This record gives sequence, structure tokens and C-alpha cells, in this order.
Amino acid sequence: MIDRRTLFGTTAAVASAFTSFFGSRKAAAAVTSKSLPNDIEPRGTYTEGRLERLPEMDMESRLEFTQGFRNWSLRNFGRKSSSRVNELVREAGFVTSPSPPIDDVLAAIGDDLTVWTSVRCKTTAQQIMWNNLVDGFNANKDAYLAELDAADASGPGTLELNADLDIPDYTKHEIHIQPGGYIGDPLGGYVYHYGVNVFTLDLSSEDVFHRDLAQIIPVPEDGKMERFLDIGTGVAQLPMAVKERFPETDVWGIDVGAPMLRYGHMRAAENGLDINLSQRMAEDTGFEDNSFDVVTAYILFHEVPTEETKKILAEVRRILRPGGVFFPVDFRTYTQTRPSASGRFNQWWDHVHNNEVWTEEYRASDFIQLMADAGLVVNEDAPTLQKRFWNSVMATKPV
Amino acid sequence: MTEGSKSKATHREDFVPPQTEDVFLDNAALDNVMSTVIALGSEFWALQKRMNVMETLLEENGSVSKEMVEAYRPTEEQSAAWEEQRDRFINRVYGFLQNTGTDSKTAG
Ligand SMILES: C[S@@+](CC[C@H](N)C(=O)[O-])C[C@H]1O[C@@H](n2cnc3c(N)ncnc32)[C@H](O)[C@@H]1O
Repeated sequence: MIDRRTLFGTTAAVASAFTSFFGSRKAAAAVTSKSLPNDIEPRGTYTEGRLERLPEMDMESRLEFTQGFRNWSLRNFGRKSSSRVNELVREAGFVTSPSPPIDDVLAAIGDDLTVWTSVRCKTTAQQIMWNNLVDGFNANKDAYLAELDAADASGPGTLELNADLDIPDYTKHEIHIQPGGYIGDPLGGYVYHYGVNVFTLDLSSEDVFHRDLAQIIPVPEDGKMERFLDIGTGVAQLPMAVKERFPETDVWGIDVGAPMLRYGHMRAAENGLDINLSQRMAEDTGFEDNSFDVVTAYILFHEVPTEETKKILAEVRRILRPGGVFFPVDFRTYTQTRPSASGRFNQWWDHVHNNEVWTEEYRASDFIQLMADAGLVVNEDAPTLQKRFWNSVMATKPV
Repeated sequence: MTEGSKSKATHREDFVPPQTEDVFLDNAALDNVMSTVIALGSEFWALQKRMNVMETLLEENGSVSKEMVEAYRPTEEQSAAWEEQRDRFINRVYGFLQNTGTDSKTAG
């Protein structure tokens, strides 16, 4: 592990310091990952050995602050702000649940100081998080780019990039205000991964959400699970977890964003997981008819306009084999749940100020009906995650 | 934003930044000052953490180097204690922002 710290001034000095001063501490969990050419892991990994520590301690500390400040903004101040929203909406003569239309909620809030100060805090938490990550990874960009370049051609697993891919405009937004979004920053995969750990309020997350999710993915009735695909796979956390659960399965992940896939491929290779990642659009995957047993999409659809969602669902039906399972996980739509006024206000913030450009369109759609319209048979008893936040649905392609 | 990897074009320049201004308070200057004050908290915390690590290393070892600080791994107990220290810091310093004169009407 120590011999891999070759960069950022953490050289032999660290090795000796590490041995002499930390030898008596609870040893860090063994790193099971393998070293790729140009691999850098300047400060080792977090406790369970999979998530690499950030390149500088200050960067790590700033992120810890962001985590704490975000918790405070959402839980402490946020709770107070939410009761204030509901109170103002009630005072304006509405019931708070279900929420009146968003324009009425905004009118009731007016320029209330509690609400807008809280929104300021939440928004700034997001901004300082990205600033810190973008700044810190870019300060070491040559090393990180060299690491990615070398990893592209390493295995196990394969990476297929498509420089000529016709990328539709709707995927080019800086969703969650991440600078460059999914396609615009070559180090976007790193930035996304650590940023999302903060969103999920779990700094040391070792792909826990994705590993939990992989455990509940339904296998087709006939038990055949030879080929699996995750669409909008991001940094490929779900395919990695699926490969761990089904080592014999041919596991694929596709995404529009090359920076996401490159980082994902590197992590999979480092962790010895043989998965195939390819830069392709979910609405036009190029895979053969009937060629997958299971297709998943984890928090993809709230970032896609409804017209494109219809195309993606048709494509999913085409590439699933008869009896194959589709298992998407995402927010609940308004047809499934009606938020209270404060919940509605948070969703408005997410859409307008967290730049979740397509999420309102998604929530307004009837996703279950869209799956049925695409010729999939919806099973209302899909296994669900413990976290109520996300909703999983299950559908099969008719035999 | 990084310049591209020299070996291949793996990202696009035509990404779309948010179209909405984020001004929530009376004027943009106030929003900006708030953001600056919050950002300074994160820089402060980075220094505080360095102090914590240096104190620990000095106590254990009598000397300290930048490399040792960077490589330091807090124990579980330290992580928990420092997290509590961080949260107390945040409450102490940013708790003021909740004083908006509406408390009498809003339940805690
Ligand atoms: C919120 S992220 C989720 C990523 C991943 N599933 C995860 O668990 O973190 C959405 C991902 O979908 C990708 N994406 C959006 N629209 C797409 C499309 N039409 N085809 C392929 N990928 C798409 C984005 O590039 C992004 O990586």
C-alpha cells in the first residue's frame, strides 16, 4: 500500500512516518485493489479500503465542513425553514398537504427571511462543495489525467469511448450545478463521486447505496442472469456491485459522459471487477434485440425529458429478452405521492437552483404508465430499498 | 475546469451552465457576503483540523512534518470527537443566521 504513494510529496518520508507512528494504531483495512500503471493514491483509502482519500488533507477537511454545514442547513435550519413555509402557506389560507401549486407557495413565502436565508445556506453548501472538489482535483490534474489515460487500456473490464457520439443538448446541463456537468470536465467522474457522497450524507460511503441496491435486484423468473445492463450508469457503482453479487454475469454499463465512464472503469479495474463500460445513449444503445436478462437505471429518469424517456423505455423493451426484468429506481412522481407545501418548495429549489433541469417534467409524468405504454408489464410488488427517498419499480418484458 | 487530456478528447466544451441567478436576499451583495462567510468557515475548519492533527503528532512524537500531517489517519474516536467539534463550531458560528425575528411564531 505504501509503495503506491508516489505523488504529491508523500514519498519515502511518509512511508517511514506511517510505519513508525501509525504502526500501533488500528491498521487501515487492507487494500484489496490492484495497482494500475500511473495509479495514484496519494493518501491511501478511507477505512474500508475502496474510496480513496482526497489528494490533500485541506480538501478533505473542507469537504467535512461542507458535510457538517449541509447537515445543519438541511436538518437544523432546514427543519425550521420548512415549518415556516408551511406556516406561511397556512396563513395565506391554503392547506399544506397536499401542497397548493408552487406559484401560490412562492407568493405565500414572499420575502420571508428565515426561508430565504436557509435557501442561501443550502445553495452555498452546494457551491463550496463543488468549488473545493474542482479546485483540488485540478490542482493535481496532470497526475489524475495520466492515471485515467493509463487506466483506459487496463483491465479487468473494458472501456469503450465514442468521440463521435451525437450528444443531445438535454444531457449537457450542469445538473446539481456540478461545473461542466457529466460531459464537460475531464475529471468530472472524480468530482461527481465525492460530491455525491456528500449529497447522500455519508462521506465515507463505500458504494453502500449501490451495494444495497444490487442485493435486491430481481432475477428473472427462469433464473437466467447471463447478461446485465445499467443505463445512465455514471461512475459505474451499480455495475460494480452487481458484478460482486453475480460474478458469472456479463455486466455492462452505459452513459453519455466519457469522464464518468473513465473514472468508473478505473475504479472497477482497480477493484478487480470485470465489467464493460461503453459511451452510448440509453435511447439508442446499439445492442441487439433480446440481448439482456436484466436492465437497471438508478436515478437516471428524473434527469431526462419525458419525450426522451419514452424512447429509452422503448429501447429497454427492445434489448430485454422476453421474461427479462427492468428495474428502475428514482424519485416518486406526483402520480405516486403528493408533497406537502414545504416538500414542494424543496423540489422547486432542486429544479430551479440546483439545476435539476428535467426533474419537474419527470415528477409530472406518470412513469408507471409510460412503462406500460412501452409494452412492459409492471409488477407493483417490486422489492424496495429501506431508504424511502427512492422508489423502485419493476417491470418485465412479456414472454 | 481542466484542459483536456492530451491523448484524447474525452469531454465536450458545449456544456450548459445554469440559467438562473442565485440571489435570494435583498441584494446580490448580501448573498455574496453570506457565501463568502460560509466558504471561510470551510477554510477555517481546514486549519483547525491541521491544528488537531499537529497537536496529536507532537504529543505522540515530539516533532511533526507536512508529510506526517498529510498521511495522518484519525482513529475512530478522534474522528467522532472532531466531528462533534465541527458541529459545535457550525452551531456556534452559523446559529446566528437563524435569528430572523420569526421565532415567536415558528415552533423550534
Ligand atoms: C444522476 S446520474 C446517476 C448515475 C449513476 N446511475 C449513479 O448511481 O450514480 C445520471 C447519469 O445518467 C447519464 N445520462 C443522462 N441521460 C442519459 C442518456 N440519455 N443516456 C445515457 N446516459 C445518460 C448522465 O451522464 C449521468 O451520469
